[in-house]
Amino acid sequence: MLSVNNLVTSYGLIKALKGVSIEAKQGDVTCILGPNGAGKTTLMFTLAGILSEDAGSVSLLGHSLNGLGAPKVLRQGLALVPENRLVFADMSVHENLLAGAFTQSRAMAAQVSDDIDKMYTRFPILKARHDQPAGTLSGGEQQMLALARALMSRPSILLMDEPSVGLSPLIVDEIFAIIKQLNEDGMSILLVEQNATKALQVADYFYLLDQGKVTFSGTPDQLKDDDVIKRAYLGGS
Amino acid sequence: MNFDHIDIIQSLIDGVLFGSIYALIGLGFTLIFGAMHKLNLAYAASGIAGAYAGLMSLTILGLPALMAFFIGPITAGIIGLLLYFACFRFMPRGNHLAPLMASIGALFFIDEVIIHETSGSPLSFPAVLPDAYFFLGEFGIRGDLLIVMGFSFILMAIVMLLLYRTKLGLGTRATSQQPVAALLCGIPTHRTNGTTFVLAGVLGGFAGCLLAASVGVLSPLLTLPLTIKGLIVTVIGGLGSIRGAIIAGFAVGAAEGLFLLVRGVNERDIYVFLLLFLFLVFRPNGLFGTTINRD
Ligand SMILES: Nc1ncnc2c1ncn2[C@@H]1O[C@H](COP(=O)(O)OP(=O)(O)OP(=O)(O)O)[C@@H](O)[C@H]1O
Ligand SMILES: [Mg+2]
Repeated sequence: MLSVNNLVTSYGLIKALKGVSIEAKQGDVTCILGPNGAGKTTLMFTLAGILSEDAGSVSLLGHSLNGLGAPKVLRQGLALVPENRLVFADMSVHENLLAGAFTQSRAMAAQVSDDIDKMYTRFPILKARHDQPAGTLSGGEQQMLALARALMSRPSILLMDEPSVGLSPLIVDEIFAIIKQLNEDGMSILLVEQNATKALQVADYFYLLDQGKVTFSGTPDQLKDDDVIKRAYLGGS
Repeated sequence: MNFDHIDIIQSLIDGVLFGSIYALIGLGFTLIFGAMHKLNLAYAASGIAGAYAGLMSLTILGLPALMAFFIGPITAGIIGLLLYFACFRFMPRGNHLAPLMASIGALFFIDEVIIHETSGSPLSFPAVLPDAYFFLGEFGIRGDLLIVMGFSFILMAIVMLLLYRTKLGLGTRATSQQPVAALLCGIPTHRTNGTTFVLAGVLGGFAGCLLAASVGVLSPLLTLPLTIKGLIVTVIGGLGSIRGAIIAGFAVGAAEGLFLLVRGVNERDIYVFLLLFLFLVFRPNGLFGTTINRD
């Protein structure tokens, strides 16, 4: 559903993505692993239209996303939960969700408030905190808010950039349970993670990104059999 | 010198009433700072330029006096948008110096245009209710300043409604707090920033007209003091704090009234400007500001 072909993105003279090609299938959780500085966030920002590519193409369900810019990419159905959550700290939880529905027209007001209720059902903690400034939420709660905010745009594919980073093991379990649940409800997900062990519990397909290039791609079983990855990511021999 | 409490309270009343103009200018500076985390130093000048346009619509087109308060703000709003495109929109995001210098350039440009067009001499501006004067017990209240204040409150209420009760306001606040996330929510951040400059410009145009109407003259000599007082209000209020800017506007007006009473008109501004340094040194985040985020 999401095809990325030979994507090149640079910061000035530094090439952060050197021709990345990946494919995310409808209904799958596709996972991108990679060390710090591999270019994972650069890839996510390029796909979401925050950064613009130097070369290569991106298409979602047959529509090209090249050069659209973030708001139009979102309208095409691609939403990103950014690294570090980036919630609107001084706005209430409720307002954050409303901001997530910014692309929905005024005529959709009833549907938007319906969607907010659905988010509150999926994330009861957000309902309990709906009036609280988002900046006062814990890291895990902010992650859920960022996720719910992205879902408010009714995406057809959801990108998540390291949702588990900096969270306690218990909360990480909770986040992955939510990812699994979302996927079972039909959401296609492209997940960036460094926690390969957890990712193995949810992902259908893996890519390994290193220094701006894809160095491995395969199924969970192929990943588990790869010696290099085993040593670097699964902490095993 | 001797002042009794009546003198002091009277100067405070005059100062606070006049302070509503500073509150408007401070609010405009704050809206722009909130949107882009950058100062637009040409802002107060654009308000004065708007007032000149309002005045010209009376003298050249012969429109009724009240129309100045319509033409002035609209012109200032347009100038605000031009300033956005000239000094902010296309500057690299991480570069804070370039837009600052560009806006200083625009400040002097606007000033020079006004000086050139008016040969530098002040023009008289029609007063609102020049003769109205009320007594409240022992204190006198200028009717025109009361109108200025009432008008300012209405404008502030409109700004608050726009910011906190509309979708445009939601997008503006989101952009101000987290521009990348705002883009990811589909908010056209360049457009919301442009709108903020227009809205702030309109406020500045009103402030310029109200200032000119309450002083009775328009002069290029107004731009620099108004710019600096707007900055003082913004700093004292806490950069980016809307509530702070409004309260600080009245506070600076009151302080100015007191300095005027105690030290006279020639020294007044010296003490007002000293306030800026005191705050920058001892309370750089102002009365209501949190820590200033840099991107
Ligand atoms: N704004 C920037 N300017 C210049 N170089 C950058 C910028 N952002 C990232 N880079 C560089 O691009 C490369 C890829 O960075 P990126 O943030 O995409 O990595 P990442 O895989 O997301 O890492 P992490 O796991 O730490 O989040 C790095 O070498 C980084 O230093
Ligand atoms: Mg990253």
